[in-house]
Amino acid sequence: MVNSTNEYNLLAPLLFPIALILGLVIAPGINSSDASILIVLSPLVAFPIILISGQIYNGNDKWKNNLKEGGIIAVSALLIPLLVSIWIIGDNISHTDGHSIITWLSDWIEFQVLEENYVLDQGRTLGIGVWIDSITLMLIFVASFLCFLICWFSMGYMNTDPINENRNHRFYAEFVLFAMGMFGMVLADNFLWLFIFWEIMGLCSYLLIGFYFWKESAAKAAKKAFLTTRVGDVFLMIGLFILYDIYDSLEFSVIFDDPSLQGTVDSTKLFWALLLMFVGAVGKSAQFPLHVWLPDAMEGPTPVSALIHAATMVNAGLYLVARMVPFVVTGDGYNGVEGLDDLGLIIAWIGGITAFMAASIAFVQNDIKKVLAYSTMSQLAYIFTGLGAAIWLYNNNHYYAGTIAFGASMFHLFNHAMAKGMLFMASGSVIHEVHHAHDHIHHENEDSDHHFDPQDMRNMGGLASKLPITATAMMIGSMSIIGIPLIGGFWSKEGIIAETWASFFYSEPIMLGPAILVLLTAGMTGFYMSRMWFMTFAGAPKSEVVNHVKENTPWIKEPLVILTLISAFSGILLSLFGVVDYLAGKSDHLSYKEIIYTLEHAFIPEDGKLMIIGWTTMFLSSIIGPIYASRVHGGPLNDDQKSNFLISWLVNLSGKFGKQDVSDLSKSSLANALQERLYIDDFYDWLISKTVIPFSHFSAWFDKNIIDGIIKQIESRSILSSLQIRKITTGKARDYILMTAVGMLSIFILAWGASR
Amino acid sequence: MIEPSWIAGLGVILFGIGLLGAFLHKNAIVVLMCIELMLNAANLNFVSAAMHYGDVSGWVFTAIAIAIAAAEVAIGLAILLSMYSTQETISLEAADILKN
Amino acid sequence: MILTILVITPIFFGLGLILLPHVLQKNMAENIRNITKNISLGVGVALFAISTFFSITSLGGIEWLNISLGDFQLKEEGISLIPSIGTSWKLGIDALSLPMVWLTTMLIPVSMLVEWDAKDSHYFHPLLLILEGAMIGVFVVLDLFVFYLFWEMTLIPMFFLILMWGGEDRKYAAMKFFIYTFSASVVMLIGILIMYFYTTSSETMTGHTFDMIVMINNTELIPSIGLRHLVWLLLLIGFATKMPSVPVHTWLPDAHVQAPTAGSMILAGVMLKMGAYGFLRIAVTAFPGSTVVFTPLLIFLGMVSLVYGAWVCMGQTNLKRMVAYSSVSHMGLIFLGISTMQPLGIAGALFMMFAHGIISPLLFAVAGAFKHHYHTLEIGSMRGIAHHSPWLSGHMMLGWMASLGLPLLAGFVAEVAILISFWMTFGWLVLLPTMTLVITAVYYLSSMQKTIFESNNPHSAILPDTMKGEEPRDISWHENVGMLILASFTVIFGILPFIYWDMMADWSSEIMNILSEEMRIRGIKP
Repeated sequence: MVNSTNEYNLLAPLLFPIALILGLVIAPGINSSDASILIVLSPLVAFPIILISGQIYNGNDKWKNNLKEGGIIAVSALLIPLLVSIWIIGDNISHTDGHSIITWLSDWIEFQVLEENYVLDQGRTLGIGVWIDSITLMLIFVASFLCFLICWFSMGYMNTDPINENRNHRFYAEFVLFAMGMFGMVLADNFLWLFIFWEIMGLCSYLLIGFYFWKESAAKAAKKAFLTTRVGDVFLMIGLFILYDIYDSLEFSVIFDDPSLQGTVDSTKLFWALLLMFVGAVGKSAQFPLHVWLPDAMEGPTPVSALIHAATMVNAGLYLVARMVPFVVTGDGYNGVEGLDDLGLIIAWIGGITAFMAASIAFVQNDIKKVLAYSTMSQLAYIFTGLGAAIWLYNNNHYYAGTIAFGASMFHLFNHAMAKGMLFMASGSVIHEVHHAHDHIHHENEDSDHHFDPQDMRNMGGLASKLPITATAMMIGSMSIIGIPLIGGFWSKEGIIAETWASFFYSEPIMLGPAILVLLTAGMTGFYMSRMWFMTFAGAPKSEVVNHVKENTPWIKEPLVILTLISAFSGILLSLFGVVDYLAGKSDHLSYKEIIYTLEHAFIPEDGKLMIIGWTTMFLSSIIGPIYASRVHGGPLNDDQKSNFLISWLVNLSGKFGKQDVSDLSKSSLANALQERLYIDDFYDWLISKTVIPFSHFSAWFDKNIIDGIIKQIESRSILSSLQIRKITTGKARDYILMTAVGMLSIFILAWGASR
Repeated sequence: MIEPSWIAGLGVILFGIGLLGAFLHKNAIVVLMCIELMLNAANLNFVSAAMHYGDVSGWVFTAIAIAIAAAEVAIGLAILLSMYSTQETISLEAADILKN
Repeated sequence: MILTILVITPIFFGLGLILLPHVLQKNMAENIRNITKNISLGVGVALFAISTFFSITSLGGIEWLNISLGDFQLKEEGISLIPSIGTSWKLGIDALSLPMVWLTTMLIPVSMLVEWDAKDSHYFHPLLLILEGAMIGVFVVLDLFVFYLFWEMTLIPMFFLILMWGGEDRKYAAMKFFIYTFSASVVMLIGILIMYFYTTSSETMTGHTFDMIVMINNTELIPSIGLRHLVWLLLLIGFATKMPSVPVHTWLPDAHVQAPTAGSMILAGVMLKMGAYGFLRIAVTAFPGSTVVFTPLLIFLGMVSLVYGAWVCMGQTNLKRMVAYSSVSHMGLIFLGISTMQPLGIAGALFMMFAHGIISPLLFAVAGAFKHHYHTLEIGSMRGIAHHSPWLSGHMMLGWMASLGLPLLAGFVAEVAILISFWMTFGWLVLLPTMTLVITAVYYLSSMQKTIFESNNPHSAILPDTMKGEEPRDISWHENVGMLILASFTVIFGILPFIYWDMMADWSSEIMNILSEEMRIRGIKP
């Protein structure tokens, strides 16, 4: 392992993008929007450069040590989008009048359409441009910031693992290609290009999950991920076709501004279009029933899980649904589109079910990454619930409540992305160091050659003293996910739960289901996140390996520290600036609000019922869940171990609530069913092996034996009959003469008869 | 004056004998002779027609036909000889390599 | 002149290179044989340069946007071949044929490169040149007699390619290919002759002419509607067999599996498109009424080819056979595109022809490389090939992804265009073709999984038995260059489809003007 603190001098190439962007900022006549094309272009150009030079210089010392097998190129290429997006945000945050559009290729393809009256409608186009509004700004920042940080992290995580040697260029190339897809999707100004980049991300997800392509499990997981999302994507495609049919365009500006929204739209068609698009979102964001791919996707390298399967790509589905919200919002005093209530209810229900299901499966997972995967699924489901509630509220003319639900959902997306990206990186740090420690021991005593899983939390425990930075980061991240008051996710989660209940209180009984589910899930989140932390960091070490763990891999700490700070403070800071209203489009800029006002708003809402809900949530998630987890898994460190002051209080506290034995519970059939992921994967496998596979074999058989068989029958029958006819040729001259004579005679007779 | 139809009748009889002989006999030489007989039947018809119409071309045709028949017989006999040398028989029953 | 050069040069050089060594002295003949493939490649590249040149100028100066039916560019006419029956050497190019000509000239040098080391290459490469001339001829001639000549002429080199350089079962495959397509084109010939006998011309002895422009510009050439339908069906049989469409597709898998790599590439890349080209050029253009009437038949054929082809694909264990069936499946989309009776759908079908012409040769080049380097095409007989052949695996990944319709690769635009218009015309029926996209993804991913991934060993692959201890290696430089060219065009036309899309869209609008008129007369709703 390269262990030097002087590696930062390798970052010198980063000066180039900084200089470039600074030059652009200073240069007259260029504004941030013009530069937005750089966000997509820079990773797109870096992709072939890294891939091809990696193929050529593989094994070269300079390539390996100075360029980190392409890592430095990737980081530089990702710094440009980050700087440009910060520039764009700086330009737009104070004054967006709703949205702005920049055009790149206005007519990507041009065509005509035959109208009902047999006239060709000229000049239809499917173009591409940039759409910037508050959601775009938020997401482009999340995407570019996390891409940059996680790429940085990868240089530590990937390059120090000997198994990756001479393969990392593939990782970095696919990584930047993914970044291109994500940036493009966020910026696209129409649904077609949103879909195009969406699919590019799907491809990269496939490639990166299958990074360890020789592992059967990884290859299978990659295939599963691609195919499952593909099912959703196909429905999304149909949804887009319907949408195009309704509006004759797929551009946001046309669709959202269309006056026909005021009630003349065929609402059945619109409902189906949006529902099918939602199915696509379900696939991409791993919601029930297309959620099966996400846990398996953890086969990929941990940075991939952090970036794609926690922080960015899985948000694509949410982004799509967020783009569906304007269909029901046209301002105050509008009565909504008939039928779209059902859409909101469906989305909320899917969200509620997934949140609850994923949280309960997370209870029994022992793989640290699997816990986080199910947690991701569950948190995304929260956001879906919030969006569903927002759609319902908007559509029923509850504009104010709708904006809170919508804004809180988007804000939760931000908080969750930051926290979960960081949690995955922290788990990567844990896995990496445990793995490394294991290899270390393994070298010393050869006889201990048993199977060891560095991701299994049952091999950990007591790591708080060994990995202080990681432990702190993970604690803050977990708190943000749980929603401990004042930290990160609290500010958004409260809003989602409250508004889901609010839509129930506004006399929609069907909303009770999701409302109860998300409330319960809040408590469950408190349990499984705390369980993960306690199992990993608190208590006595559960295996020998733990004693050899050290936190000394380069490049890993910086992203953790930065994201820890963001997770801890961004929630309250942004709330102070009214981010919820801004994201929901209610106000066009961030403006500072009094701290007292904000706190009051969060803890003592005017509506008494909502206040009860809020406090129940806090009670469940911050007190019941963690305490129960500490009773099962908590405990102080060994006496000779010390942890830093940020986490020692928690470690010590976790031992104070007594001990509870759950071995009986963990052997119950319910726990077993949860271990088996509620048998949903098995059911799909069974279904496919019973329907698709036999039918394909039947088709192949049918083609070979029936269709080609008929052709072959024609062939063989004609050969047979020609064999029969052939017998006439005896080869004897006499017979031929006879035939000639008879033939001549008959011709004469015929001619004679004809002449009569 | 002999009626042309009589000569034509003779031609038909000769042709019939030649035809029957050609596919009833096994011996290749006899068959060859029968073919000659058929040719000559045709020649006879030519000659009689030429006489009847006073046209020379019939005689010319006959002369050419006889010349060609001579050449043909020469080739036919050569084939038979080579057949005899390879198969040691000139029976037509044996000559069926064109079969199927 | 330029089109004549495009047609004649390759045939001339091809025949010359094959025949010349037989009449020269032994030493010289040997010398010429040694450089035959270099000369062939040179000719191929030169023709590619020519066709690229006039494709590019088409983007600039010339009025390509005005290409409409019967308005052919680079027109050449005059030389009368057989005056008595009214056939003449008449060439022209329009938005339908230009991309196809470009595709042909591009594919020939690429396939030469991929199969650079073919045995007896002093026959192999010239045969490809002859094939090229014949195929370009099919696309540019404007005389049905010459069209038919070239149409049949493509069979001869392909027949020999399969027969002499094919796999184990090549005789059967070559015969099947020849008889199948030949008998179908005889049916087509009947249709052409019926059309011929309804033309009038004062200059010929028979009083008829084979001039294609005369035939296709007069939609009421044949007065009887019933006879028109009959001719349309005869033509359909001929062209659908070539495309091929279910149920007359079974020659394709056999021919592909046995054909040499270059043969498969050209067969899939261009020869299948000749069917679609002929259908659009003659059947649809000359008989718009029949096309409108028989739309349900087209939907049926297209849908069955697409869906059934995909399912059959999934049941295959032979890589090349699977790719061949996927061609059947994609050709079904072309019929679906035409059947939508929307300019967008027809343009999508045209672009599908073009895109599939780039993608499927890449697929066959990859499959051929498997055969060449691993001596087997059985999916599942090997694992983890990516360890030893990273370039091959990369090309496989790109080709497979392009074929399953990944955005920003050539096939996507066509697919989306066809499916959007399919929804506009047929509504929820669109579920069938879109669901097929999932099936497509399943068989492509599974086949990739079972060949290049999953060796369960971080450093080496599970090699097939057919290797017999041979050291596994990556593709050679010439294969790699060939595949790289195809791969880069796949990406280029995926990102910048408008290079050819615009003219295709114009062409389809023009034909839609005629078709919509027929629809209005018959009261068929768009």
